[in-house]
Amino acid sequence: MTHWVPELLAPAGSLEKLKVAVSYGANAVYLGGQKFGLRSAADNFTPGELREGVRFAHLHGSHVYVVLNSFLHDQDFEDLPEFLTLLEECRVDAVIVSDRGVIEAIKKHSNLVIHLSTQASCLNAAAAKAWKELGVSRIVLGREVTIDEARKIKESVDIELEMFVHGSMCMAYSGNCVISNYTQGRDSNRGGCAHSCRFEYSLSKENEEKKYAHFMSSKDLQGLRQLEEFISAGIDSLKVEGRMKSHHYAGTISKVYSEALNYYKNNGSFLSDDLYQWEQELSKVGHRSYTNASLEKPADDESIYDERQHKQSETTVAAMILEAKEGQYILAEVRSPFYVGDTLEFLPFSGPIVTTQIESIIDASGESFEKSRPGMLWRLPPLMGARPYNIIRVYPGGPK
Amino acid sequence: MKFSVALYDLDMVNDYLLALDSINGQHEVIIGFKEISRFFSFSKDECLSVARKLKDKKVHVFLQWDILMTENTFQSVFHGLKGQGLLSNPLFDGIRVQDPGALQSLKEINYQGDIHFICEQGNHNLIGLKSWYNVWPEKIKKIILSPELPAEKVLEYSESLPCECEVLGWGPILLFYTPRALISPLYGDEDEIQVLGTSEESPHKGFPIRENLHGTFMLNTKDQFIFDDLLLERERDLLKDSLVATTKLSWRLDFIQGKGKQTFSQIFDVLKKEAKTERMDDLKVKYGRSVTKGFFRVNKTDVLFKKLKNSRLQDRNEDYLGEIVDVKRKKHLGLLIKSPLNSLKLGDRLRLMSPEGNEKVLKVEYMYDALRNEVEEASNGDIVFVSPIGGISIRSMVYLDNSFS
Repeated sequence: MTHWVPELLAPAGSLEKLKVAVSYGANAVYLGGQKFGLRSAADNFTPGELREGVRFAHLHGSHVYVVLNSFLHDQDFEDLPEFLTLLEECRVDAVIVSDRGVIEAIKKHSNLVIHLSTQASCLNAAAAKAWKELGVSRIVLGREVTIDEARKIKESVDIELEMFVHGSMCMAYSGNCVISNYTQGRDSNRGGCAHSCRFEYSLSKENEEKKYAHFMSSKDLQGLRQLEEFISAGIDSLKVEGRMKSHHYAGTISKVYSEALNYYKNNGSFLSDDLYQWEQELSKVGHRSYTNASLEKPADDESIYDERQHKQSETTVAAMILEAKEGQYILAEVRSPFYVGDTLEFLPFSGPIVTTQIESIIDASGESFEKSRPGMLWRLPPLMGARPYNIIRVYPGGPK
Repeated sequence: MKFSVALYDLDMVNDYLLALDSINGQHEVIIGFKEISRFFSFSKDECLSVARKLKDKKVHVFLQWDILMTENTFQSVFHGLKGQGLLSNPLFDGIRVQDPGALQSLKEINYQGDIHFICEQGNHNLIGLKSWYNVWPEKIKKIILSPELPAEKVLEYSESLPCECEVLGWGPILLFYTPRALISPLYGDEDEIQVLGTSEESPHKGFPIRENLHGTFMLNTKDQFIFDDLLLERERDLLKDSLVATTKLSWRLDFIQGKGKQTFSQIFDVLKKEAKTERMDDLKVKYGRSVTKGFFRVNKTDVLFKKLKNSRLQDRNEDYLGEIVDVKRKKHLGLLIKSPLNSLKLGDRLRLMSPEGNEKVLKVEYMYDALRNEVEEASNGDIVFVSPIGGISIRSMVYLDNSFS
């Protein structure tokens, strides 16, 4: 007997990251095209990449959702129908939208399935009902909604619900922050967010000494231990933030959450010996301190991250496999320098991580080196289960 | 010109009542109470008392419910408003709401008053605004527009929408709104805390930041004030003339932080009479806070910043084959086939384009795998090694060159 689990929805900032996330177990990915998204600095997908991304995802049984979550101005609507046609041709599974005008345009020009972005800050059942009446089939709830409240919304309104389970968080109600607009001349709701909430501020109050603090910066969300509550509440999709983040992030987060969800699927609980291991894995990708934010109760001061920089990854990505010739060799693209004698961690798409020591470094032409260099094509002996897009980490000298 | 005036304390209410004789009856007043409004400090009873006082003078009074609420709070507040008769109280001519859930709930109980729907955040197109209006055309009598709209859009929308519109004429600009308490962890628990925030990473100094029971709000360093631009130049500008003349638009005076050392009579006197520059300047001086026209003249924040991605790496047409993943000088180029549509055969001609813009053509005379085994054909996912060519680096795009076929 298997148990129902929600969809795991991972970010795909590029075609390569899409393949990494899907290969590591994401049931769905979300990505941006060249227009109308909120991550102008991300690679975003060209039409050709979009076609290939959808083909790859569908081949692996995963869905593709395209973000159209920018708040549009009148003149932007001119180009929208052509883009919608492209999305339909590519057979994307849904679009993620926050602007009511965009929803109207999508309904007029296409038959695309519409998901409401968290940017619309849908917070309660009455709002969910209103959006459903407009034609939205799924709502990405505001991050301020607790799982218990989401359960009540689900019970009141027959609509798919999606919640964030992992990643960076806006401190403001999404869509309700315009700091960048007025201080940097960049519209934060159209891809220009300058992340002013991450700055350090000096605060002055009458007759009190100035205080310095990163008082508006939120810790990162981590909802691994809330998975059972999500399932019990019937939340349809669990979203991971981070289209701007690395391949390592896309792969590790997808692997951890998909393995945890698969464990539940097979066992009906999360009482796994792997729970500690999963948490350890989540700590290996770059992140601010973790919080469960508002998943269980409204976020309090424990959720504020009073530091500027991310905690650095505790592990370094050594390489990513590009080709694996079964029984012959592996070719991996080196991402960070490492030495003979260092310890490697190979992350298979599923199952335990394999640790091994580097005995030699040989490039594609057969030449040997003591140290690798980023960009070189590294030829390794065959490794059980190795596939393109597998990630290899490295520990200098040996595991920490 | 028609004004919507938010009255935040009893002094403002009394001062406004004194100014009633000097204004015409088109004005309306916005009041609220702590539990449902961001900045009003009235209790519910005080709010009702103020509403009664204003109603006695035949002022149009609107209740502000602009707090965003998650499910539990929303249910509690909505049922509270309904149970206490606040949604059927004739003291209020209508209600102002931002949350689509509030609008939906009012519709479900067939609210009898007028609804003023706040569309200030992220509503910058007519299609969307019309769609909001169409949620309940019989009851939505006003749409509150974004303060980020330039003058021509304000006029266009107010003329195109079937209902009245409102725009912030004078008052603080809200930059940021979170339900989290961000100041009290630093200053201790107080009902309301106000500080000024400055960051070395921003050129602007002294953002007013307020925390109350609803969370934390950051305001712009300068308040919006568009009347000098609007009134003083109107006779030279058809657009501004139209904005002042239209009866479908009201201008909100929103003195969250007080109106300075001046009375409403003085303010209306200047605004109504389209006063000379010095009187307008005097208004701003007495206001005591820096002001800005915001985006009323022009809004260029919609210029999407240029893609950081190298355009030479974006072009993928039907001839696209893959990418160079290894360059070994005088030995080989490593080519990863990435296209599911095309494969590579011996004798094919390739067009290579580097990130730097170098374009080269190469005929594939031989190719082999990483163990130097000869290969005759390669397809999606394969890495093959071909003869080296100068000027081509890792990440170069590779296309089949069919121009000679």
